[in-house]
Amino acid sequence: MTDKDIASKEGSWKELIRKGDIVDSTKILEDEVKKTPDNSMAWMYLGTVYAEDDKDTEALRALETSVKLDPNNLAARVLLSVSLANELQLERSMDVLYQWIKRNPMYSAIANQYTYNEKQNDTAPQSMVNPFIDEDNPFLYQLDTIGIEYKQKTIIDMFTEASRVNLENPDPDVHIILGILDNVRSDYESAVNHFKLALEIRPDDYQLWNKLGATLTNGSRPQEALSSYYKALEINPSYVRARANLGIAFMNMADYPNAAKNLLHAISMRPNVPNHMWDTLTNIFLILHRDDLVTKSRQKDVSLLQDDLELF
Amino acid sequence: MATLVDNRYGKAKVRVLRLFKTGDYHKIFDFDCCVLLLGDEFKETYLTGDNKRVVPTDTVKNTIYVLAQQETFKSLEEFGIILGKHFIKTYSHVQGVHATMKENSWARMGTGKQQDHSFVREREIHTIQVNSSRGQEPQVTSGIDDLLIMKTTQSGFEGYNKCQYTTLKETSDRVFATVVTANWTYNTLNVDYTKAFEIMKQSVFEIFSSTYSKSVQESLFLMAKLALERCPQIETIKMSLPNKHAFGFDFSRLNIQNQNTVFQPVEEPSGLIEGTIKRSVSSKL
Repeated sequence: MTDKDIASKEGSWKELIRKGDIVDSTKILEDEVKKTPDNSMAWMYLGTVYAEDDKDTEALRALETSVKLDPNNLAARVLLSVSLANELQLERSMDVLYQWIKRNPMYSAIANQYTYNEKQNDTAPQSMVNPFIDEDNPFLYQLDTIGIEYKQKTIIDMFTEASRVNLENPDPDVHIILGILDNVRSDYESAVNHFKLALEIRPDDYQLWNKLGATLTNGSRPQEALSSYYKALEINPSYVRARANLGIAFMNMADYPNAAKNLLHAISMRPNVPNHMWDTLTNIFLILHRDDLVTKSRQKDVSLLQDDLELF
Repeated sequence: MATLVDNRYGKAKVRVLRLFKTGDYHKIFDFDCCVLLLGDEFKETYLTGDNKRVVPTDTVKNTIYVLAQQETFKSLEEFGIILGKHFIKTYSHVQGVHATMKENSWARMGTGKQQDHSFVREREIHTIQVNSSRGQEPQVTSGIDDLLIMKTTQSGFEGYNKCQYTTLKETSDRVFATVVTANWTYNTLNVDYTKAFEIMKQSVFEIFSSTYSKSVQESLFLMAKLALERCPQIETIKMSLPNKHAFGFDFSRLNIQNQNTVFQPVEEPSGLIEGTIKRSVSSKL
């Protein structure tokens, strides 16, 4: 394949994802990585569609592969760090971003001024520190919390310095990364500011609107999150993650009927959704003391709940 | 007529003291361990007395000591995972392992070099439960038990429901003593269990000592909430706080006023406040 072919293929994947037909794009990309298993970009787009479907475990695997195949795939690194942060693999999330700045010709000089101790190889862990952790499961990774605060500070200092390189034209990627890093250390207020700044430059980035919404919700401001999710869904109506997050925001506002409605909506958008979405829906029904619906949602069959959807 | 519904067996109350020596510095684990084995094939001995599948409980006990020496671990939660993994791997008919431990807390004594090897027992107990099942991730529950704490002011109880049976007086200055029991589960196996335990304990201390308690219920919720904030790996916390009452002594029959300095601690009955606090669902970036 020539570079031109690759570029046109990437363009078609982008278009597929943009059109929001995730079922189709997932299938196409899953086939693509079977055909060209060493194509970092194909794995990256596959990771993207998994993440948009709220499937972080699958996204993580695809993005790990993408970064492993091409350690200089900076876009894949950002996506991977988000999935890692979502899965609470906080230290790895930071390590992946450290390699982003180190490998970025624009900012590598900044990175080189700092001492940052990576846990180990920045892609999938090479050796398990603990003998009892399953070798088959690369996502179980021993976290050594000693020194993690120091690392957090170091990496945030690095990216803050990078954000000051060109104050006239801020680099949205740097601010998105700062937003991710602030989420990792639960500084939601600062994360909100970084995401808002990046949105001024990329107002059509629906994933970014979702990041803003999720940060507001996690920072106990679910009411303010709603408009961010609506914006994300306006740009991409079949964005499952934003729809599910919208339900969670309502849940945090104790508006359980709207929470159930949006969760159910998200679940019905795909033939198979991750278990955690069903678990959340079940929890909402438990809070509502609707034992009948709890029983139904535990069966994880959306057709059983079809008629109940209108009740909410 | 009679059906064996379920069964498990093993060795209980195995006392272990394990030292990890780094030069002169000793790290200790002093605990009481119970390991129970589960599996369909163990039914046979209950039903017919056929023991061919039974791993003797004496072997279970020996294994605990062998693994304690052979393995390196940083917490007893990790040791519990190691135990589960060993029995499941070694005996193909073992389907599950329940390892329960109670760890005694020893604080370091003295200063400088003495601290390397001299300890004093503290009251609270660290509890550990690891349930392992073949082909599944182990389920770890950590806990703290018998943590006795007291504050002598900054606690009150007012505005409660009153009816014809109410005799309790409202107060904005009372003694609050409790014995904390807490158990918590995790959302990952990627945990520094020692740190999680410390965070839980410090969250209890911080809320207890630095906030005015409007009710035991309120304090319970705040303690759990702080621990969830500080330890992202903790998923659910179950807490039980008995209210160990200390009522102001009734001097009225002696015509003396109680100056709120003399109390009568009452062992029984105690209030009992319990609650389970779960992490709110997090929103994914």
